[in-house]
Amino acid sequence: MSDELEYLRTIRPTVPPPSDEVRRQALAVLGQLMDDAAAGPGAASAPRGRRRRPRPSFGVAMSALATVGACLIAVAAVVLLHHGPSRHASARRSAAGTIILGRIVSSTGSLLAGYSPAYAVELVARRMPAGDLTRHGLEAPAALYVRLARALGVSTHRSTCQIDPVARLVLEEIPCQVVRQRAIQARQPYANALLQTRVSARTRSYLLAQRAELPGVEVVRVYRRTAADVPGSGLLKQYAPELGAGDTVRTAIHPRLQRVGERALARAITANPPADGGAFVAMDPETGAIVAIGSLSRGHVAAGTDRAVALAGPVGTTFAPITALAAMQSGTWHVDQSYDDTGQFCVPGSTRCLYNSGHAAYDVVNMVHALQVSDDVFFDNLGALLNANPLSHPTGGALQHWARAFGLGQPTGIDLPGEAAGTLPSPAQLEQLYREELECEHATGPYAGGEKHPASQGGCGIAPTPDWTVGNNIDTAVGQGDDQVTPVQLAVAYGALANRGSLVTPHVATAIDRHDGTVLRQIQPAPRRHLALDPADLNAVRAGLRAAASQPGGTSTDVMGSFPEPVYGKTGTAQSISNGALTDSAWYACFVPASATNRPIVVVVTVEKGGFGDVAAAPVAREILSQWFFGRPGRWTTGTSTTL
Amino acid sequence: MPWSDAEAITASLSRPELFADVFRRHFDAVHAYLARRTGAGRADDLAANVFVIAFERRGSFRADADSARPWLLGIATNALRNEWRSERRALELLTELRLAAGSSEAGGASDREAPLAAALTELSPDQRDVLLLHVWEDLSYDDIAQALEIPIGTVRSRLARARERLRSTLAEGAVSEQEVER
Repeated sequence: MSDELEYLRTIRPTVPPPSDEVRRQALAVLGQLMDDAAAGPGAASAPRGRRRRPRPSFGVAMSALATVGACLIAVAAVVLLHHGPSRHASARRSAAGTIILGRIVSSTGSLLAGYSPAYAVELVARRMPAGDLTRHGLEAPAALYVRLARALGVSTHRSTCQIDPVARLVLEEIPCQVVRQRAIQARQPYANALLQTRVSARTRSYLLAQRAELPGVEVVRVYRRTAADVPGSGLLKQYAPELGAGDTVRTAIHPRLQRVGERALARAITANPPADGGAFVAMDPETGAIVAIGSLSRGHVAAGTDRAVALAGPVGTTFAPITALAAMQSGTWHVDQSYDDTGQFCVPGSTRCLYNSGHAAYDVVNMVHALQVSDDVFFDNLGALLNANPLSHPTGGALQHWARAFGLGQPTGIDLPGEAAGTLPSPAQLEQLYREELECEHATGPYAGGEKHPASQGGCGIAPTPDWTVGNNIDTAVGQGDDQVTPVQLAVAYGALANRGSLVTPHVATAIDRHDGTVLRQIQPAPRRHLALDPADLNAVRAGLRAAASQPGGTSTDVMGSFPEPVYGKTGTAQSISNGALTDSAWYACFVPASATNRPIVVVVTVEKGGFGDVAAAPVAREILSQWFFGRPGRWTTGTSTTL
Repeated sequence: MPWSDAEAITASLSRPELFADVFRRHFDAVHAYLARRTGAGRADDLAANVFVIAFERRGSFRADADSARPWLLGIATNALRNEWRSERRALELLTELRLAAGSSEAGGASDREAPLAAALTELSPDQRDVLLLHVWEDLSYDDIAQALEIPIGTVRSRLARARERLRSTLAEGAVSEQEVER
């Protein structure tokens, strides 16, 4: 070797080996990464119990790492300057650690949703140093926060903040809140604020190493939902107690049917202004397995499945089959009985008269014909006949009894979070509403501290009177007024019409598979109950629904009449007052029963503010049926019926 | 040795915890390299991060390579790219040490060592990397090419230019010393 290289070799610095502490800490950082990799989705052998490793607390690490993003360097420089090493940072795993690992797959095994590990920076206000922060060499927490946000590539600007709602909340609230951290200590509204962002493992390990120098700043592992707003994404939460890392929730969801449903619903919303949302449910009426479920808000897939289970409202005359069965099962009406529809129905004991939509008069109709043409006056009459004395029957008469029997106004027990119970109007329920009206008017109870709304100025509009009248029962019978039914409830009720009386438990999940491929358990919830329905009565209702979707004059014949499978369907148009204007929400509920096919299905569609059921909702149901039976949505077929 | 670095790294793709073997075998060497170039204080942190990066990139490790050491030193070398201030401080310290040693030893080889340390700061980062990996870490040209992911010809040319630079520095140093004596 030449001279200069020899000389160079002689000045090779002799350095001491790293201390055991340094080795241990470095291995701990690496250990967390190895853990994460092992626990990540797709890892074949995810450990069930996570070993706890000592968390590292490195000494001062000031200068920039070549491999860490330049932004982080800024943070390090700003935040860590002049800090001595600390070996006392205690290991701590955030509450975020309780979030579940797992994934959800469709009936074909494709991934619907899952959680993947991500890293988050957590600002824990109460752990930040109190008092004069500059004395600690730290910037004010707000500034620290802002710098962290910038460093991690998260905007602090309200209008440009395009990240998780969690982070958005934090970004908007923290800078002002943390400045007053003493106050926060007292009230603790944001004790643990997550600034969640996908930071790289490297950035995270670096921050982790610096944690000792950053009181109150925690780097935590969180799980990020990989697919937003897909059906059943709430399932992970639902089955959390059973799920282990890497486990799979298998669902009955047909991905293509799901997509067709979403697209068709979006199209219906767009095509029917001022429609602004909607939902659909497609279910096997024999088992209760949900094969597609979704909802849209303002034309975007925004709420996932929420509205299908959480949106309760009046359902128009999709309610009529329940009224029909209540009347016949209670002996109030006979299956062959005829009624002369003159086109108007005047409510007994009042001056209020009701009319068919478009002031139609259907002359002499029976049950089948009334369902076929959606004869409002006919069902107004049944509603009146079914009204019970509110004093002796505070929970209502046969109408309420049978509506409850069909599960309306009650949770269905579907395995999705956020299910609304809805309500079924009854004298007792009206009284309760009136009590709330009074509380609202007088600003008491839950309204305490609010503005008063004297009855003389119109009150609150919750319930103008506690007195149940026949008019209330009529409203209930035709699915208007205070009926509060969810799409999934209606699907279960129509499922009972399809399967001849079994009230199934709707479920999205069908099995839980362990990460090693073994089946933890099959999910086959038993029917909630079986309704004893007179076959002749049920047949009349089914005949009416079949005629409504296939015979001349049927309310959805123009949409469903040409469909090759026998569709039993009922339109509904729910009238509600929104911002002082009457807005109609479109409903369609239908089924193809197991007696006609080996792929029985119930489909319920609602398009909020979409107008008439046949126009806005039935076309969506047809696309879903077409996809289900023939593997393609087919031509968009819209209707013209203007019945309620 | 029960299994090679390459086997451990390949196995760690499906069983991540096996990467710990690589750590145990090479952490001290990586740490020493970084400590020589930046000082012990920085090395603690940098070395830990070299293994974090290595773990993430373990999929790109060349399975035909014998030892993971060149690969790890390559990652460490990249990590040094933003460490110039620390490195220069370390080299200045080295220069001072050599000057102090030179004055106490009164002449000899160390007369040349102080300017040599200083000369290292004059090299381009590319040249310094190749030179120090070769001379201080005993990496072969092949190893360096693999570590830095550059062609072996480039290794040779950088080394040649670095040596040329050092030679002229030494010559100047000798001249200036003579001038001082005069």
